[in-house]
Amino acid sequence: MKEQNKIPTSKVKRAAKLIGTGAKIGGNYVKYYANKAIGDKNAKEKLDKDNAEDIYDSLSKLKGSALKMAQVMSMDKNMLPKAMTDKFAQAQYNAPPLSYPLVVKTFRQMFGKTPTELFDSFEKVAKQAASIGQVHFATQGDLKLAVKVQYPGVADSVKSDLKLVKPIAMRMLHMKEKEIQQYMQEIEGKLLEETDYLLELKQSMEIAEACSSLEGIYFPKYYPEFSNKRIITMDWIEGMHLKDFLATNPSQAIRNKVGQRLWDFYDYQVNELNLIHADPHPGNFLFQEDGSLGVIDFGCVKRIPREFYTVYFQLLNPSYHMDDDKLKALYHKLEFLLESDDRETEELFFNLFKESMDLLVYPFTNETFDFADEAYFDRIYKKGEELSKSKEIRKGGKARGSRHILFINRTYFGLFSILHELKAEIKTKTSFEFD
Amino acid sequence: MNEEKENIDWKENFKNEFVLYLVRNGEKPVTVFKFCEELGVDESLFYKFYNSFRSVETEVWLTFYQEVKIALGGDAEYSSYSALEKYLSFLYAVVEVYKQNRSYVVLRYAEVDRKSFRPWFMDAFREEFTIWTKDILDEGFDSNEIIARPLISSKYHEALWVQLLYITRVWTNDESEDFQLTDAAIEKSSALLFELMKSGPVDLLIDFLKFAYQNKAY
Repeated sequence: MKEQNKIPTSKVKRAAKLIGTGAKIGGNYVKYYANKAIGDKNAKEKLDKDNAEDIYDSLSKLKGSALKMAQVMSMDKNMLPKAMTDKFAQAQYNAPPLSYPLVVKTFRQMFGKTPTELFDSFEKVAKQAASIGQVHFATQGDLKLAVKVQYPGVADSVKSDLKLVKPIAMRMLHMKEKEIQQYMQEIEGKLLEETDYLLELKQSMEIAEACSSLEGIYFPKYYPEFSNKRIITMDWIEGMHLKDFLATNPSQAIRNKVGQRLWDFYDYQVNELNLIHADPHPGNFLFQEDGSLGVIDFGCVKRIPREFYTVYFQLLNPSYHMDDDKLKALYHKLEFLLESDDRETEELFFNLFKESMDLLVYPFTNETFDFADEAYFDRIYKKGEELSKSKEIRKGGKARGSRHILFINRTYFGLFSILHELKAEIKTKTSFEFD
Repeated sequence: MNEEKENIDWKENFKNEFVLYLVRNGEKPVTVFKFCEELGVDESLFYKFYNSFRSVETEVWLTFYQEVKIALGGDAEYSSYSALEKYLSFLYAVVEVYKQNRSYVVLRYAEVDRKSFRPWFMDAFREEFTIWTKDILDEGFDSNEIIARPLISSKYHEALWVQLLYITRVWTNDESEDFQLTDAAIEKSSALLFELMKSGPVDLLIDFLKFAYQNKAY
């Protein structure tokens, strides 16, 4: 891995970078209207692509929260046009590493010892970059360990980065400042939690313990004695990333098996634990040839408030889909529909949400669902683009949907897209109890 | 009494007492005489080791430098580092030494003009630092980590000096937890400087222009 070299050096430069992006996007719009004026039918697609490239280019030069923000948005595929999500998807793997002397310094500060004094062996060059830290390989006796070290000053930069990203996000998502605020708060809260490695350690141990009865899923053992607020030490987990796993041409039976395990893992978390590992990007799962599955990185855990849980998952309840009045009442509770809506607006949004929700809960409505189904995913993307283009939604002027939905949906989109890549057929039962 | 005082390392003691006086009072003693009187010694003893208060402070900073070098010497892995890693270790060690003397360093830097690249109290420090960075840069040239360029590469060490002053200033103003802001500043500015000293697109451009001009390949 190449050590980090070209990085914006100060907050001013970071700001300059993002303002530069804003200006470029402005330029892209000029190009768009020019293309449209000369009757280019693909103008809109070009615009999305240009925007995505410029935004991606500048985000990938920043670290930490901007990258994370890109990840959150890239997960939420229905929120973004396809061109953008493709670009953002790349952001998930490439973050530049930190120098070894800083790693040593952090160890000294936290343990009073250097990495090589603390462990029997410690590899200088990081094995992988995580979005706010990097992972080193170490050994202690017979143990193989993964040691995650956090970048300095991450928590501080989360806030300033999000402030900088906000105007761009508003522009991309056609939202007003007031609307986007509650969602930004939710993202900021989660990102700040992720910088707290002691919390991550606690969550990891808690979930690993609670899920220990699930078959075919394994978690690393965590070592609190080698962990603190900026370093987490856990077992080095063997396994392949999704892409490498698929390259081994696993049989359909194995793909179904591992997909089912993933599905059951999430079903269990949502319904039994009321919290979820909300970062289901492919880098956090390690696959083995026999279909067992390792899960790492519990930095982003969404706790689902009980009152929200009992309401939100009624969306899966078939009896609601027969009865528009019941469904309307449910949408009101979820803030899809607002008290202040007039009849016409209510009707409009009711239909909009019904159409997209029907689509999203579709896999749950059958005994089994084949996630290889291209047509289904195409419909999702099309719906997403349709929604993002919809003039009515923009005119609607108000934010809709409870903030809790953000990370839950992100989780399900992540899960769906992994299952899609696995081309797995899943028994999509849910243990949610309908009323 | 007299014997006891003879056993004291007065060179060291004057230095420590002077720093203590500074951080307690925010300014230096009125005269050497007054300073020595309070320590209960004759002022001639002071002049045996120092010419003035200024030379005491130059010595203080030289000691900082020496402490950094001792810290680096104590790092078993240091000798296996690349030039950039050695340089980074130096900066992290400097900040650790500063930390033991924060009040003093903050006090001194409050007086330094932002445009001054030559704080008087760091003169001796700078001399040693320059010799050391030149060695490190030579290592970098040898390993091709960085490249020599006509005219500019003889000034590389001055850029590192300005960076050190910058880092010190960032640190004196740093209010973040565990001085993480300074860590990030060290990481980013060093990576930037070493990247600039590396062979890059500008070198290729100059090389190409030279080729095109000399061979009339245009």
